[in-house]
Amino acid sequence: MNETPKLDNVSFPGGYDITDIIVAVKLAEMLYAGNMPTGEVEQVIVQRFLGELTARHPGIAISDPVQLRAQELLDERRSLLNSHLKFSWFCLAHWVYVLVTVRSSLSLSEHVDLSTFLTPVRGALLELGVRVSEEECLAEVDRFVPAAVTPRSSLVFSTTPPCAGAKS
Amino acid sequence: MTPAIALPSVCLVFAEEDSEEARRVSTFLTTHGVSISQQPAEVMQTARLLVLLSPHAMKSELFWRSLADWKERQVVPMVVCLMPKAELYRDPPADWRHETWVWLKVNVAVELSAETDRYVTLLRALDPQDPKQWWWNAGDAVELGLAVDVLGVGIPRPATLRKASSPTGEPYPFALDESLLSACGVASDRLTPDDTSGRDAPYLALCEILLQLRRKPNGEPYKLPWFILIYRAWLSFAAQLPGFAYSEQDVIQAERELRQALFALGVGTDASEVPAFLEAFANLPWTASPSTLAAVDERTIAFMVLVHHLTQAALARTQRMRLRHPSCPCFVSYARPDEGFARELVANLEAKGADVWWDLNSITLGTPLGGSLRSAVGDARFLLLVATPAADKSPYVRLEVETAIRQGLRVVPISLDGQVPAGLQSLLDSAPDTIEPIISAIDSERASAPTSVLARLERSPSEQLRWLQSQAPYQYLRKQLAQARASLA
Repeated sequence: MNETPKLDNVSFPGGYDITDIIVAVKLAEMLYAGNMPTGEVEQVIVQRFLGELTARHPGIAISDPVQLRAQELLDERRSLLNSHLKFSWFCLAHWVYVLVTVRSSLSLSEHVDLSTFLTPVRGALLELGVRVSEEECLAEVDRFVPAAVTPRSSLVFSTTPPCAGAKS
Repeated sequence: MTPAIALPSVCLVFAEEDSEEARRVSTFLTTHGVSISQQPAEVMQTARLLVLLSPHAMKSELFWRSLADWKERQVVPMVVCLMPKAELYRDPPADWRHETWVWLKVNVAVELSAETDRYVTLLRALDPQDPKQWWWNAGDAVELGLAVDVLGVGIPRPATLRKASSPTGEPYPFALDESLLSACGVASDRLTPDDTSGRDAPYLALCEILLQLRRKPNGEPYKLPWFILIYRAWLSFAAQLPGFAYSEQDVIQAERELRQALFALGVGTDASEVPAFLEAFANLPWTASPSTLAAVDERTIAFMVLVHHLTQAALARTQRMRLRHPSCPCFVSYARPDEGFARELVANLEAKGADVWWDLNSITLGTPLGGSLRSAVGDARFLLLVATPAADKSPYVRLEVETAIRQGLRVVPISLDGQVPAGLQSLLDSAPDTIEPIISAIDSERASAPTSVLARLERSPSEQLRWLQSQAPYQYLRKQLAQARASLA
């Protein structure tokens, strides 16, 4: 509590950093859907993020950049002058994207227990003031699942994607 | 608009007299990639039904029959209001049309302004990518004309979820409960220090525990600032208690910690503002002398109540508040042509911490507009009347002023040209006891008008104290703390 006061410029109780959100989503896309960033801006943002992360943690082999960034954001809470909720927004962006890819049958982790992804989403939502059950959370995520059959999901499910039932 | 976005198909319902407007809407939407369905058979459940609501439509039986027919098709109605907003305040139809009216009420309404981009509002409202978002944007010219429940009912979603969207009523971002009161106990223990570990040792140890908690996911990020705030505030009120000792270093440390804790709770302060405020706070007309433990507890709890109130206000406005006593809540009544002035006034008042209601922030989800208006006027203590010729002609303004006078609010006329129009003046003359002197906002005095208004809204010290003591958590927390003290004794 003796650090030099450094006022954050986010709204109360704490907004998100848009770069963090882009990175959270892109890393989810890379890690869970196997897609590398294709846009020039996306590539620059992700590469810059990874470069800066490595520079901040010299000598450490970064196997899980999401976990490391999440820990950094939690550590930022050491100061009362930093945003309380950057961590929550970061987690929400990342894990919701993962959930959407899983529910769209686009994820490489489609056979993993859903609670693995639901737990961090519900935790982030709770910190942001939203309490939901796993069922409610999943139903809400399903509303964002693309209704159209994607090339990949049409390969996996020869008839109807799993999201179709929830949308009807 | 993103070209790739697939907008839902749209159907139109309108009275014959509005066919020209319908044609313009239809042409605009068609040229922007929205398909207009002509046949009910083509319509899917997600289709939007644009209902052009006008005085002609309200009277047309054919219009209402047609609407009743559409209602059976489960489309999502979107009311486009072509008539003055005040018309919506009239009583809804009580006959066979009532059920259809209720169906319209739970969905979004868009008021078409006279601006050239008015149809863009419609396009944004149709965008299905995030149907929740479009009407949150400030300055969108999107009016919540009828009651709105976009999140709950308006957008198709799994049927099982419809009941699950009600708020839980849990306090956010934290509860003002008795668990916070332990800080008072730790602070009062400081009066009898343990020489071996130092006066602040127990406090610092607890801070460390709360800091670890704050750095965990699903932790309690607000426990630490509350703990610091209560501990330091208690000690600042305890200067006259026996055993109190604060070194110069302690004073500096306390001020820094208080500012940081307040900041974390949504209250921004300038340097040296906090000690001055706490001193003034301690000098409110309390009945008990400050030299007793109970009196220090009382002041601390009142301060907690104030900070909690400011935090909630900061949360509602997503901006930090200044450390000050809340002014009397007020309601701003104005006619649409004076919206620019009203916006400027509200922004100025809110920036100074005033609790302002007006139609752009007081209409809440799922609440009928008439009810919201009555509630907003009823919660206010003052009605700020932007008294212009346009307001003089507005039945909506008249309704608000009549409601305010009936409910005993003080009315503060604000004149943009130095005088109050005759119609409004005669209305004000009907209740002279409730009318405050006119505030002039002519060009040369416009900049100072918000300050003049705020001066009227401010509470006296005794009113400030009465307000604090009337807040719900105040008595509860005092009782809890007294019981805790008694059990320790």
